[in-house]
Amino acid sequence: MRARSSRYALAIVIVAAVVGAWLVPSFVHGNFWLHIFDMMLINAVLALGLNIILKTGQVSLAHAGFMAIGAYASAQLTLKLALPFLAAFLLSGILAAAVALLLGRVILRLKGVYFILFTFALNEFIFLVSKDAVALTGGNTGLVGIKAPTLPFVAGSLQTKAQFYYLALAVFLLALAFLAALYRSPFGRAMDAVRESEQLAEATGYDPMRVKLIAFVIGSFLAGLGGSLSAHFLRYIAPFNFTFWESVNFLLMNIIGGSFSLAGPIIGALILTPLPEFLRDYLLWQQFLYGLILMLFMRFLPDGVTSAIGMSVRAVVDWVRTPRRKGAPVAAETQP
Amino acid sequence: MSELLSVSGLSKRFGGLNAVSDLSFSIESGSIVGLIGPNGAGKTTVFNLVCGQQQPTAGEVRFEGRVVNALPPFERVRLGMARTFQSTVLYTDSTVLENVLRGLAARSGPAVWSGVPGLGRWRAYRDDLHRRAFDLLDFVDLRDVHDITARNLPYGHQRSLGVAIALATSPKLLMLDEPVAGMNPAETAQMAQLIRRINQQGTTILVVEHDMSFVMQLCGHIIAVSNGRKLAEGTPDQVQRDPQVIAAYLGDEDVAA
Ligand SMILES: Nc1ncnc2c1ncn2[C@@H]1O[C@H](COP(=O)(O)OP(=O)(O)O)[C@@H](O)[C@H]1O
Ligand SMILES: [Mg+2]
Repeated sequence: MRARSSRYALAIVIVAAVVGAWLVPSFVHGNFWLHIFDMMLINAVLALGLNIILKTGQVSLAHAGFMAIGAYASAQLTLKLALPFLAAFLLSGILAAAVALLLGRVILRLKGVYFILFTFALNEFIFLVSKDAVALTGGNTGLVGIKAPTLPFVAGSLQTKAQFYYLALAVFLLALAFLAALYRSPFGRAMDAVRESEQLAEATGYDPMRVKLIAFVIGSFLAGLGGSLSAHFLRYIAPFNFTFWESVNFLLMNIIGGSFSLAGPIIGALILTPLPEFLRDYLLWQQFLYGLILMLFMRFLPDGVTSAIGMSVRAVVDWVRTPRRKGAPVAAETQP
Repeated sequence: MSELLSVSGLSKRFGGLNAVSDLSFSIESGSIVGLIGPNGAGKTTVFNLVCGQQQPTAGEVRFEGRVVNALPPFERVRLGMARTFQSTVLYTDSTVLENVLRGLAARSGPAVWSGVPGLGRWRAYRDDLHRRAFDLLDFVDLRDVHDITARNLPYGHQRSLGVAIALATSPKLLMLDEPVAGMNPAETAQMAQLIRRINQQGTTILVVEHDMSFVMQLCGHIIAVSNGRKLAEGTPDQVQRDPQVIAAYLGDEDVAA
C-alpha cells in the first residue's frame, strides 16, 4: 500500500514538474531569465550524459570535449553542408558517440585517478584542436552566424529564447525518460554492479568493459546533443566554451545534486547554471568558490542535495505515518 | 561420474616466484574436493587461474572437456564456474537482496527493454527475479536480513552472502576460497551444513581451507599443495597419513586436531 501511494505521489510530482516546466515561457518574459532557463535545460542534458558515465564508476573530465565535438559538428554541418538542424543535431550526437566508442575501448581500461587524468588530457587536446584547426573550427575567433534551429513541419526557425525553450525541454525530457528506463532495466543493475565492485561483477557474469563502454557511448552521445543545442542556441561557439573548467562544471552538477539519482544532475544544473551570471563581477573568485563548494559538499553532503531531500522527505513521511494515538497498543496494528 | 574440471600442467610465475608449478588434477562431477596447503602454497592463485582472473604461464584449464584458457572470467561464469573470494567481496553499499539480484540478473539478463515498465515482460521478469532471490535467501538463511546494507551484516552472514551471490549464477562448479576463515565453531558448522546442502542439489564443490578438521569432515577427496606443487592426493585418510603432507604441516597444530 505504501509503495503504491508513494508511486502515485511520484507520478503527481513528475506531471506537475513537466507542466510547470512547460509553462515557464508563459510566465517568464525577461530575456535574462529565459536565457538562464534555456541554459539550465541544455546543461541538464549534458549533466545527465555525465551521470550515466559516473554510474559505471568512471569519472570523466572530457565531457566538455565531447560537447565540443557535437557543437562544432552541428555548426559546420548546417553552415557548410546546409543540412537541416534536426539532421545535424542527431549526427553531432552520433559523431561524439563514435569517438567515444573508438577511444573508450582503450581508455576505459584505465581505472580511478588514471582515467581522470587521461580524460583531463583528452579535454585539453580537444580544446587545443578547437583553437588550432582554424579551417574546421574558426580557431580562437570561433564560429559565428550559426543558424537558429529549424524543425520539420514548423514554419520559420526557433529564433526567440522562448521558442528555443520548448525544443530544449523536449530534448531534455526525452533524454531523461530514456535514462530513467535504462536505469530500471537489467542494464541499470549491471552498471551499479560494475561501479560498486568490478571484481565481483566480473566474477558473477557481467562484462565490465562492455557495460562501461555502452555507458560511455550513451553519455557522450548526450554530450554531443548538448553541444549541438548550445551551438544553435548561442549562435556562436569558441574554444573557451569547452575548457577543462566546463567539464568540472558538469561534474560539479552531479556532485552537488547527487550522482546516485537522475534528480541529482538536474538539480545540479538548476543550481549551477545561474551562478556565473551572478558572479560575473567576481570571475577571479569563481574558480576558487567552485573549489570551495566542491570540498564542502564532499565533506558534508557526499551524496548531494537529493540525498538530503530524500532523507528529510522520508523523515517527514515516517513522522506522519507514525501512530500517535495515546495508549493504542502497537500490536493492534498487525492484526488482520 | 564424469570429469567436470581438469587442469593439466598449470603453472604461474610471479617474477622469480613459482606460485604454481606444473599442477594437474581433475574434479569429478558431484564431488566435494578440498584443496589444502600452508599459507602461500598457491591455492588462491589456482582459483584465479581456473576462473580466469589471472592467465597461467603454462598449462590448460578444461571445463566439461572444453579448454577455457582464452575465456574471460565472466564467460566462464556463464559456462557454470563460480567462485567466492578469500577476503569477502560484496556490493557493500547495497542491500542483501540487491546483492543476490545482481548475481541472478547477470546470467539471466534479458534485453534492455524488458526492464522498461509497460514494455515487454517487465513485471513478470521482476517478479520472477525477486522470487528466485528470496528462494536463495531462504536457502542460505538470510531472508530476515534481506533489506540490510551488506556492510552492516555480521561477519558470518557476510560470508554466507558471498556464497549466495556465487550460487545466484547457477554454477555447476562452486569454488570457495577459505569460506570459514575467521569463523567461530558454530558459524563453521553452519557453513559446512550449507556447503553440503549445495552439494546435495547437484553442485560440485572445490573448497580451499586452512581448517584441517573442517576439510577432513567435508571432503571426499583432497588435494594437498605446497610451494605451488602437488604433494599428495586422495581420501582424507590417505592425505592425512602422507609423510610429505605431515612434513609440510610440521608444527601446524591443525594436523593434530
Ligand atoms: N599478484 C601476485 N603478484 C606476486 N606474487 C603473488 C601474487 N599473488 C600471489 N603471489 C604469491 O604467490 C604465492 C602463492 O600465493 P597464494 O596463491 O595467495 O597462496 P595461498 O592462497 O595458498 O595462501 C605467495 O608467495 C604469494 O606471495
Ligand atoms: Mg589464499
